[in-house]
Amino acid sequence: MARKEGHDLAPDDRPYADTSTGTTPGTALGTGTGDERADGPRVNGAARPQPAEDDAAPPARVPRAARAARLVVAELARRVWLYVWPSAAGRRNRAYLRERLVALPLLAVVAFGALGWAYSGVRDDSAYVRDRLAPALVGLANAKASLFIAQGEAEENLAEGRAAELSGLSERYRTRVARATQSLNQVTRSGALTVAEEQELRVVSALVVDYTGWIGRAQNHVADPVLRDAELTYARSMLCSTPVAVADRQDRYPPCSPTVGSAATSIVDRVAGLERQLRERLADRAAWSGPVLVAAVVCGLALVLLAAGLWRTVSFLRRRFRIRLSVPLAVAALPLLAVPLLTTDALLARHAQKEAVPVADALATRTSPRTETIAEERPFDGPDPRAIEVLEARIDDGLADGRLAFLDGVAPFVFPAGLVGAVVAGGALHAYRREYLVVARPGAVS
Amino acid sequence: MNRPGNRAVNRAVGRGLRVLLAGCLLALVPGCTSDTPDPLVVLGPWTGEEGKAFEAALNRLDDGTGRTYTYEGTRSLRETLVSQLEADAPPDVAILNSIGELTEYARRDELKPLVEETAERAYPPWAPTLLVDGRRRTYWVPLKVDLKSLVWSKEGTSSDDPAWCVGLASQATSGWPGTDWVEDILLHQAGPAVYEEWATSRLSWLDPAVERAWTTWAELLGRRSPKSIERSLTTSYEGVPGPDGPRGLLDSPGFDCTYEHQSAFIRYLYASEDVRVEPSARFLGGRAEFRDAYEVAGDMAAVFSDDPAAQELVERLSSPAGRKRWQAEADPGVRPLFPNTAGLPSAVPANPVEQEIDDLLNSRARTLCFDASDVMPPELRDAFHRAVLEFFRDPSKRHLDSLLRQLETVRVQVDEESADGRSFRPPEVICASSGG
Repeated sequence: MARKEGHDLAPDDRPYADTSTGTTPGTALGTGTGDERADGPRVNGAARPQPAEDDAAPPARVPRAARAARLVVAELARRVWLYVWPSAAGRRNRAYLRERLVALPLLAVVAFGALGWAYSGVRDDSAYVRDRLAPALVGLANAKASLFIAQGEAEENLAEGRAAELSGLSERYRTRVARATQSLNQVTRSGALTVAEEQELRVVSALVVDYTGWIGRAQNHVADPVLRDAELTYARSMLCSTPVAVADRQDRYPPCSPTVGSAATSIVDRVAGLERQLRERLADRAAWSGPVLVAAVVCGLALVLLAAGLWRTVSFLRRRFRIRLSVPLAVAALPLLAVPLLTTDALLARHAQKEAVPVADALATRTSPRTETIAEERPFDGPDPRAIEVLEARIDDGLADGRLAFLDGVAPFVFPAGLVGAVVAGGALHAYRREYLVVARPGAVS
Repeated sequence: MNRPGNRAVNRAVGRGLRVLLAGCLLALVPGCTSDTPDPLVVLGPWTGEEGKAFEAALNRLDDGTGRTYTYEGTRSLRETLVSQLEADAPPDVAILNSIGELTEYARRDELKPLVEETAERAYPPWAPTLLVDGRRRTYWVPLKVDLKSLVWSKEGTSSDDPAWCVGLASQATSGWPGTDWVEDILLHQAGPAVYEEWATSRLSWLDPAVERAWTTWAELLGRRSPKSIERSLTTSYEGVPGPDGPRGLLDSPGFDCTYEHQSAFIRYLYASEDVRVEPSARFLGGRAEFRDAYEVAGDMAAVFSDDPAAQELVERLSSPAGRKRWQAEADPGVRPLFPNTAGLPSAVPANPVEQEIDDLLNSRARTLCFDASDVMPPELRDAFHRAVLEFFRDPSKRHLDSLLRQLETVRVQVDEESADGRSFRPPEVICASSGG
């Protein structure tokens, strides 16, 4: 241990070396017992509040409660300051070490606790967006587009009349219905939905079953245009609440604006509602929340004080105890080295989440069955930026790049690392102090 | 020199700091947060304004129970419930309008018997008793009921030669307005006893009484142009949508009609209009002795989960206080009707139409029979819906015979598939005298 080989205790070097044989907590912290010759506030009074002087002669008019409150606040401020920024000048070694013994581990716990919590939060948000929200939004967009394509196919196939009796509904209809069902199942399994949203999605899945039932009925009545069209209308009414406008009748994919509120009963209404909720949650996750900001500020302050405190303590030990380098304190400072990396990673992740918000909006509002059909029919024409596949790749790549991959899985260890640092620092300071007390006992040093 | 008072303050501050430190450390200990229970999931048939009113009442029920509720309303109830049961994630409480479906879930042991306090509210004909393992069991209670066998028209319209408005579209359940016609005619022509046998699948679809009901409907509708048939098939029972929502068939452009056969619930579309409601019996060519028989429907709550809070919710929803809360939340047009209101303070009717419906349901009706299609097993009910659409399209005798033969085949098949042993007896009594 460096302490054993690199120093010899020199109580006489210190102007306020404690030569008493024992100590009590009260005296060490300078609470005003008779043998406190070099109490902090009195020696370094300019830097600290001095409650004892302030209330030396309180005016008789001041109410007792106000006086007591002032005393408490002043004492509290003094103590906090004493702990976070102590001055070694004029302090007894015993008192200084005792204060450091409390302050450094506490600062380490607070700093790494806040850092661990905030960092885990950002990382969890990132994982939640990447693994749950984004796939759910992609699944919903796929389901919606696939059903519109299926509807267009069914209408076109069945409009051919008897020919469809033999040919049936096209391959694309069947593929798209299967894809819609599969996409909805993936959304259910994504883990992105609340209990209520999951129920809503089950209703959507049920509507898809009924929807395909009506398309099947229309296929059975392909030779009877009246029944066939009626049944296609029932199917479409389950897909979209708004009837097709006369002007859009020739359109293969007539526009369908989702209805909101109590009239939102169709597949599109419900899917749009789910998309809205997921996008709101994404925006919420991507924003800096109040608690995270508070944790970041607390953590930043605590880290600065911890770093400065460790540095000053190491200096103190070098000056007073002749310890060139306290290895335990250096070890306790090691977790601090990870802070810039963790901060960079958190900022990258938050940035990627923010970038994902407009892409998610595009997935919900800018995709269309027409784009998907073109992308499917002309795969070598170059990707359309509004195609679901392109948007999916954008959101996936953005979120995958938005982190330092080697830090995956580190978040749960941030706080424990801080705790270990706190224990090491506390243990080292306790050992220094105990040894000092033994050496400083009368007769221990010749 | 410090005075004793200051020392006391110092000691107190020291203690406070230690407590604060302990608090900070405790706050950092993970897993100190308490888990709130998931909301109870309620699945029901109401959407639109009806759904809104029920949801508002439901949200007000969470006071003091520590539970919250989430309501999902859809007309694709069966598919939703089947998918939920397949995924082993049924709702805690489901509100269904089909006794046939509820019976099927009870047979499959998916339903939980209701607690005694709630079971006392199993008013007939909405909640017939089931025999399970030789014991009478109550699995559902009506929350809200509806009076059918009604006809709507504009005030002052002559009833000499009614022109009937028909709109058959209704998403997954398209066709049901036509089944109501056939059922109502059969009830008034053949009487409650035959109606009961037919509804509970004990009477053949080829029975002359059944065939006569269909042909009577076709006669009442009269000859229709292909355009009119297409319009009725593709228009919702709520009528053509207007800028402020559906207009009602009586006010829909393109519908040159004067009378509408529809349940009491449709009053929300005519809330601000001068409409008249009257019993349908006199229009249906029925016998005088069955004039006071009315078809009714209902929305019944059943419990699917073991969570005691689900039982508690159904108890609260069906209680007088629950009814009062629901009524207070609903607009006059969608104010719910309740079964067995005897002895309970009645809400003041909002208008003469509501007064008339209230009188018919609670005073003038002698016999109440549950909607037959909603008593039938789901497969048969769905086939009935489709047959109505096909019959409306082509009401010829030959076509009708073919449809009835198909329906009879479905009835026999379903009957064979669900051949119950002695351990389970489905309901057979679905008509009851008014007031129980």
